[in-house]
Amino acid sequence: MDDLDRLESQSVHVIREAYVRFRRLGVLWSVGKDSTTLLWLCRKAFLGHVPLPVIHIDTGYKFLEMYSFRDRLAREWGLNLVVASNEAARAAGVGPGKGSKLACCTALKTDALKVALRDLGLDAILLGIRRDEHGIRAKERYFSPRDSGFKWDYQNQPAELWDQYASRADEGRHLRIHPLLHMTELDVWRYVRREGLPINPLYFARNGKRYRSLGCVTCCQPVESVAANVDEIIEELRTSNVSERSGRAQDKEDAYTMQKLRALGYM
Amino acid sequence: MDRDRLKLAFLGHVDHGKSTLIGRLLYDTGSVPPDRMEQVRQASVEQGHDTELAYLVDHLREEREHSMTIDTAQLFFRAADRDVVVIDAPGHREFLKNMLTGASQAHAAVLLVDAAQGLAEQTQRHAFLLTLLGIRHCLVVINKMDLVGFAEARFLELCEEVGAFAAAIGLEPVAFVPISALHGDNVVNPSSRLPWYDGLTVLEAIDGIEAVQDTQRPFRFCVQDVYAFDGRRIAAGRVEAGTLDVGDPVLVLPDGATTTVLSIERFHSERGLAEAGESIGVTLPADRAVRRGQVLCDPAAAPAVASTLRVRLFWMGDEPLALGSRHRLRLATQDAACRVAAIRRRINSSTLDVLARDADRLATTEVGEVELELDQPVVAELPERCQALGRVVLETHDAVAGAGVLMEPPGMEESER
Repeated sequence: MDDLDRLESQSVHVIREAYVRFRRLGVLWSVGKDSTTLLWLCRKAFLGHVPLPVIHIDTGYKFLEMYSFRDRLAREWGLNLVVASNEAARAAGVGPGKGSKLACCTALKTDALKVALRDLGLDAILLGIRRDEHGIRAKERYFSPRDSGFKWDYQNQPAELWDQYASRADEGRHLRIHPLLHMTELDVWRYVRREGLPINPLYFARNGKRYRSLGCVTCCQPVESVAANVDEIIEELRTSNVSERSGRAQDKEDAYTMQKLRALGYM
Repeated sequence: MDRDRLKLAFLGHVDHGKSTLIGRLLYDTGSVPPDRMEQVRQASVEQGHDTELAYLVDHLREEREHSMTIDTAQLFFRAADRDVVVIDAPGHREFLKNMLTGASQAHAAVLLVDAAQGLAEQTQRHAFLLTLLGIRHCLVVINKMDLVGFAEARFLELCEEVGAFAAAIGLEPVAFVPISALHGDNVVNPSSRLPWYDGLTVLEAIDGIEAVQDTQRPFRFCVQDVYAFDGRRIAAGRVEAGTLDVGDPVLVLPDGATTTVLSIERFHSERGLAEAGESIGVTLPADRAVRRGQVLCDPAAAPAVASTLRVRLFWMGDEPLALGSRHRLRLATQDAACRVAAIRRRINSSTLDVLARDADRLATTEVGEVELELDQPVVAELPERCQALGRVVLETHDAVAGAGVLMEPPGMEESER
């Protein structure tokens, strides 16, 4: 086994534990490289199948290329796709550029997720976040409880050791489960290459720029790059001096936006 | 392109400088992107400090405001010969649960000691917990040498003191390194202020830690679940030790029947033999009932099946562990109700004092030699033979409150053979 095999096996173990402990389990898919890898790891865990609802939170401000890519992959992989959206907020005019990023992300993403969990009756969800993405995510557990208000009690997280994870969600609470926590950005790209995973073309350079991290069109800046395929992205990452989320406006609003967002239930 | 990946936990008493040391390692190896460094600079200014390298690790607002790590974090950097996953652990007594969560994932540890303060309560407790966690490789770093005038005498004095404590608990440090994390002396770059020291820098010492090799052990596979997505029953789980090939005979415990592996199931993979660490699927003959909690093993070298376990247990619960109390025990993929039948010794995990024999309770942060009576037999063996089958957690109210390792081979029970 090489290092990617070990990372993969660890993820599969986490996914299988999630499924056996929480039968009302869903998986969040942003159509980005990490959550697409997560879906693939689910196929590894369940031997080709994804026996879970796959939830795409649509803010309405996503890149057009994301939508077509999403629908194609959902067909090819036989996914049970559920698109969730905070229609009320959008109708009321909530959006980027009107008020803070904190308020917009909370309304269009976090609140949409809340409704989706309730409507689907889920008590746990798989997400593709990784520790190396952000200092706040570095503090996460594999199985991370959220209370009924979606709050993350980061000052009082459960002990998690020896592959023994939180096993129940009390009434109204849910579990966030993070099978990719131990993978770095470079690990994910190397895994994408090895497995030949389909990747949204937005990650590849066009006109000297590419997106390293994908969120909404309005709050996502591309970085300077000429990496036009996965091999070139890997080469670029090995020598890069810029962090993955440097193009994300959300992280710039203030030093603790991510912490505040996550405390309110963000991914 | 298969670089070794070392998971390294940083332990020690609160304020001895773990987060600063990690920040310094990341910074001096050029592992921090300038935009992240800028965020740290700005946040430091906001808190009224010069650039706090510890902020690379202490990311929560509360941690920065109180200058204290609350929870474990993991960061990544590239050393010369390998990739390192750095696991920071809080040094405060209140956050032992978080320290254990982080350290339990490590292959090796760095134990930090403040040169001015010396061996402190959590230094000793963390060192003792390392032995419980089965972490053998430990690097001792004597920090804040600037506060003791970079004096060799003080360094040697501490080496002896720490060395003696380590020997008492069976821990073997691989090196002792004097540094100042705050000023960067001897972390990545050697220091002119330590002319009497001709040993390794911290980074060199980390590069020198040998990766743990998986030795050949008897086969063990713990069943997590059984799937029937395409009509066949497939046992899903992980190989915890040894290897497995199609056609191998296996003993199914705790039931006790021997059978043969018909196939090894994977998705999108051409691999044949399955080895330790691999998550796979297995099919057995149709008449063989399979369920979560079972362990498939090498029939020639089987683990024990027992209803009583003797465990060295670290207690973290809010309430003391009471003699006679009932809890949920989890051992690999097994789940059993258990009762605390005896607390043979009750130990202060910092001073190592034996507080009582045949005690009626174990308080939080204490370690006890505990006998547990289980409602049903479980498969278990010493962690040296198979880590997954030698480690248990105890739950109270669905939260992990205790973590322990098997102390002696569990008694053999009558089982079908």
